[in-house]
Amino acid sequence: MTLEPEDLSPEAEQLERIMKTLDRRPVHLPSRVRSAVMARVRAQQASVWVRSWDWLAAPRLSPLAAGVALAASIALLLLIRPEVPTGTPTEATGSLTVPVRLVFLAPQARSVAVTGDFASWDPTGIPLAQSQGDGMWSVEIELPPGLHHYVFIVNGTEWRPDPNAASRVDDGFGQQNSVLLVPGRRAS
Amino acid sequence: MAAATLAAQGRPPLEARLDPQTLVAVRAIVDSARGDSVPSRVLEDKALEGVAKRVPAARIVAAVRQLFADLRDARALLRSAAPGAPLAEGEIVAAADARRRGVPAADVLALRNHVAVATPLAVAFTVLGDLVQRGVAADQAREVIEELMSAGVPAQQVAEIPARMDVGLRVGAPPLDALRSALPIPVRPLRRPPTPPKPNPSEGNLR
Repeated sequence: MTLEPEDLSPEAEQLERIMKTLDRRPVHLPSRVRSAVMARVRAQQASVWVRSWDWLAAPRLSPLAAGVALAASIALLLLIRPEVPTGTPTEATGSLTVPVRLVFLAPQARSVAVTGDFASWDPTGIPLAQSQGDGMWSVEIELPPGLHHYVFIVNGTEWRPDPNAASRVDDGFGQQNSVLLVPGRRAS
Repeated sequence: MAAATLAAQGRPPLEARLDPQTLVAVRAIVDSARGDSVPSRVLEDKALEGVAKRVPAARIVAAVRQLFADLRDARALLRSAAPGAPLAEGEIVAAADARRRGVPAADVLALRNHVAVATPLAVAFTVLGDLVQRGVAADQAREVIEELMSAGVPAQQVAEIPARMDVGLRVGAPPLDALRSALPIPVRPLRRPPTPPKPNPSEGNLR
């Protein structure tokens, strides 16, 4: 049997009458009661040290999970070897060389070479080669760390700076050289 | 790709490339450079370069003489910052290079004074010249490099900044914006100023 709202009217009226009889005035406790209660609360509160120890000692991970996390952390530290900041750029000794790949796009060229201070400015230069006949010429050379000036020689006669070089400088002869900066390797 | 090693190249003597008259003139300059502890190999390379480029002899001698003066000035500048300290040839060359590209002597000196005497600066001087060539004010470029060095940024990353900056320059970014985007870490000289708080529209309506 379901009760319709109008069926609840007598009960609601009775409840309302009961509510009206309740004393709704605020309750004021004697001060001695309040003091006694607070004193007991303070007595049961642990000291800062006890509470801190309890927090630290409270189990949050199972021993197995904690062990796995610790092992993973150690493994991560061993795998990651961040470069030790020295506070300055480092440059290797003159005895070390660094492989450098030089690339020059010249689809119509018959030959491309590179020359510079690293080649004693040999006018024939170091030849580049095309790998796929797509006009992309390249060569890999070993260079000591430092600044190097160079140019490409196209078809044996045309001297051209490197369009991909980060820098160009006046060569003192009215032309421009490309500048290659080879940073030193870190000593292992 | 075949790897070509410099060991197979060899270095020809000047006598093999220069005519006798030019050789005498260049030798005199090279000998002066050695006497002044100025890098001499760079001067010989400049002479060889002139020959390879088929430059008239008089112009070769003039270029070698000018380069000698540049290297001597750079050496004196670096020496003033660190009297008695050994100077690396690469550092002298890089400093002279930076000066030729428009870096004021004061900024070269300031950069040298900013770091310890034994700190090599060839990379820093080169990048300084690169940034100035790209339109960054010399003092601002220097401060950026100083902060990068103080932060321990590796030389390789510092050397890559000019090329990375070109990416922004190619799309029309101002030099400072392009530089800011190219840095491996934010640096104080280039940090954007704090955006001023926007006025509250409602405050205007209450007046």
